[in-house]
Amino acid sequence: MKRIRENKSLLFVVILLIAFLLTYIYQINFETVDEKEPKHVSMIVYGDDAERWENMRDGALLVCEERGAQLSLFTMLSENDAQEQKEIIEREIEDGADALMIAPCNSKEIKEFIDQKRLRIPVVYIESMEDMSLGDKSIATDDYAMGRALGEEIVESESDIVTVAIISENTERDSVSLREKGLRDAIEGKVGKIINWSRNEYKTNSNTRMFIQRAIVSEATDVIVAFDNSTTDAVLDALTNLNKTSKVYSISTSNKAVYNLYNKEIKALVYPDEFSMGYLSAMYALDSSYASRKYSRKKIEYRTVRKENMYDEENQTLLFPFVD
Amino acid sequence: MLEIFSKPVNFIKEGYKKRSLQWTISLSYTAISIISIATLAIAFYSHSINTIRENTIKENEQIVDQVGWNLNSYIRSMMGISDTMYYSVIKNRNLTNERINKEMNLLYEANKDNLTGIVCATEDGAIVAASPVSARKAGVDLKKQEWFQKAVDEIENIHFSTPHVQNIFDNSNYRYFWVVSLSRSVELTYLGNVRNGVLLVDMNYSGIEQMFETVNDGGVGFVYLCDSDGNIIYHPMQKAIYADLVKENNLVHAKHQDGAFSERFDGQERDVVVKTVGYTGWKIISVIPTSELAIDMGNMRNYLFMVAIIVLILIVFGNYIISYVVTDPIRKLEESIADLEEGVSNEDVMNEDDIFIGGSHEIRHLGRTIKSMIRQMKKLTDEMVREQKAKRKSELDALQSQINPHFLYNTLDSVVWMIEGERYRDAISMVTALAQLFRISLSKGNNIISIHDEIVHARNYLNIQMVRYKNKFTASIDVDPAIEDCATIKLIVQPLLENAIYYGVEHMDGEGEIKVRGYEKDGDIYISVSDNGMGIPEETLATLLTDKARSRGKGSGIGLWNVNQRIQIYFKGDYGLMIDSVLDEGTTVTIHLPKIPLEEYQKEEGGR
Repeated sequence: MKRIRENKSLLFVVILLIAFLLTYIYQINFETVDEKEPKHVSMIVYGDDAERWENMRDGALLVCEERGAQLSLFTMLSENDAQEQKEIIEREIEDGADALMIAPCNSKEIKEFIDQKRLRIPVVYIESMEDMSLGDKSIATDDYAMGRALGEEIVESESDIVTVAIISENTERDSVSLREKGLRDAIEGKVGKIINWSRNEYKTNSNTRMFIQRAIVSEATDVIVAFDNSTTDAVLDALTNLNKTSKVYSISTSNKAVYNLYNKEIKALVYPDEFSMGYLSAMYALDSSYASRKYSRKKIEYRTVRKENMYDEENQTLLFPFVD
Repeated sequence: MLEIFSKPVNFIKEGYKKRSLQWTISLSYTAISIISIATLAIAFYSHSINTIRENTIKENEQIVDQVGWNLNSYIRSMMGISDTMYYSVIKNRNLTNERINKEMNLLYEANKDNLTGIVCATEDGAIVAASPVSARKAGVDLKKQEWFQKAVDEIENIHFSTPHVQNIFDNSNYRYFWVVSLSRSVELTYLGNVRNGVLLVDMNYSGIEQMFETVNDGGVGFVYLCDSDGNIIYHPMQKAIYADLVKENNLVHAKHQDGAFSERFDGQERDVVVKTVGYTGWKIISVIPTSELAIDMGNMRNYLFMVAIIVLILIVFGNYIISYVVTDPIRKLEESIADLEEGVSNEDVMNEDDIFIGGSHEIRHLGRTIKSMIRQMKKLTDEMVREQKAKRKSELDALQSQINPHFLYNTLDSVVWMIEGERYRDAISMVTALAQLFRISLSKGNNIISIHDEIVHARNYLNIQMVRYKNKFTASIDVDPAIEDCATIKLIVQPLLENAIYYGVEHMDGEGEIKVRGYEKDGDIYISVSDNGMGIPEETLATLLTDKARSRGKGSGIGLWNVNQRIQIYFKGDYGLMIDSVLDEGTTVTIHLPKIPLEEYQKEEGGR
């Protein structure tokens, strides 16, 4: 009797086990795979020009597509409103972003804001950050070196009596201030005169182009130096408006700057590889351990380009990205 | 070497010996099933994986063929434009006074989806005609352009460049175009004089890009395009490759013959298909990282694993049931035999009807054979018991017959001695006691009598001996009345008394003392005969109950051994005699008997 009962229990267990396994087989073979919710990466940048970030976004997008993540680009209504950028960051965190890629419009303020948040999601800065804490990740070109390279280009190309006007705009970004520092270190004592063009000097709250126009009209200079896209574009617009010419040396990735490199005012352009910045930032945001293993030694390139070499094979892939 | 295997093999053998037949059958078949299914599953898995891989490669070969065909058509159409421009327009015109712009524009407009421009230039780099009409970039020297130099260097061929930015014309709105330049040397006629020039057809790179992007959307792996030197023309990760973030094995692939092969690159196993595109020598390369097949392989592995587990469970369950059905009758037969063994050891009656008969005909036959054997054994055992009993009885009778003449001899010796001494009254008393003694001795032929009769017998014997020995000793008998109705073998006290007299008190001149006590202790009966004689030396004591004692000294020498043997034949176990003797103090011989009422014993005997 006891044996019969044991056999029945065994039969029951066997049937249960087979039923479970059949269900499992059915699930893995005939039901659609329960896909994981894709990760959302928010790329929050300064400025209101989405096209300016196209190349960097392409780099990030390549990684996101490869890893089944979604990438959203958020620009601002203005160039440098830290409060607005904080609000965007806040909103993205609340909306459940899985990782943040931030190009801070004000390095110090945004970093403090992020630090206060004590976020548990990866945050990658896509700009140079001077005061980095342990655990912070920043993907950027060596901005100081870029500034220095641009300065050396001026020293090499221009005479030693040349007057150089340095536009100090957007210096609340560490990338810009580092570039400026690098340039000053390179040209200090090697050019005729250095003029500082800043809003403080001209006590104006008007837009960048207007302030530069005023500066161009006010002070004669041989060379104008700009350190970022918006300032470079503003310089070119100002010169066009004033129907003036000047030698512009710039660090920029804008299409206008590249166009003017061949055709007009820009004498030399230092061009950072923003595609790689986007690619590596997204890689660190989505899989920091893999990125650390594979790309820990990877340095973001930049090139000093002049009209003569802009169509060289290695330069044209940088200056003229395949933009989808 | 063999020792390494012999240990586990022996271990398994020993393990098998300790297990039941059902367990052994189940385990053996299960082990065989596991090995078979695992082998099958692995073979099937390997085959399936290879099939998946081969199918994927075949699919990609088809894709590559399709892309090759599309690309070839595209390139041929571009070459067609170049041919048309050259053979239908340029070659027939005297460029001194005829223009070719109109035809060039028409050709451009008709194909502008795929073209970014058509340019005809002299070998000095002067533009003869261009479409679309646009401002030429200042300072552009066509002669320094790679496509121009190739056309001039190899005039007989049509040349295809790698993708580059078109930098001849100025484009408004900061636009730039990536193009693949198709250039060839052409003959330009000026006033009948032929000069060499270069015709350029700039193919829109996005046309090629779209062609490949369509292919790379979905599916496994990716397809890319490079020229015969390995320069990448299109790659889905082109920008990352340019930025040195991703590596590609393009230089090796470019040198490879058409066909499929496997490689390991950048830590990845990959299947590669190479196909060369006709005139250009470009290579279409399909790359399938094996890891991308891992999902299919993983699904296949899970599926096979699950199926194997289910089949195994069914087999294990089936094995259990089959082995149960096969071995259950054997087990029942074995259990019935074990019960029988247990019964036999417990002296129960052996019953052959308890043997299980069932199951398959072989096992039924086995059961019947065992049953028959048991019947035979039982018959043989009964016969042996009967023989044993008869033998025991004959042995007992022989022992009994040893007593009678021994006792009779002694008694008659006393009577003779009394008559010789004219002690007729004593002789009469003795003969009377002897008669009573013999009456009890005979006991109607029964060997088992009551303790009461045995004590009466002993008392008569004492009376006879006290007369004979002229009261040289005193005797007392103290028996618990509660044991008087219990059974005893007859004539077992008397030989002890005889020994007590002969070896204990015979020479004590009135100081001898014999005590007979009967009592019950721990459910058994004890009858002791004590004397205060000289005692028995230890070495003699050790041999008293052995066979050697039969031939010692006075009398027939069979007393104690005889009594002990008779008790043990009848009652077995621990029953018999115990002798306790201290030199110069005396000897006590104790009879140990089971407590069985005589009536009960007689009933049992009657039952047998």
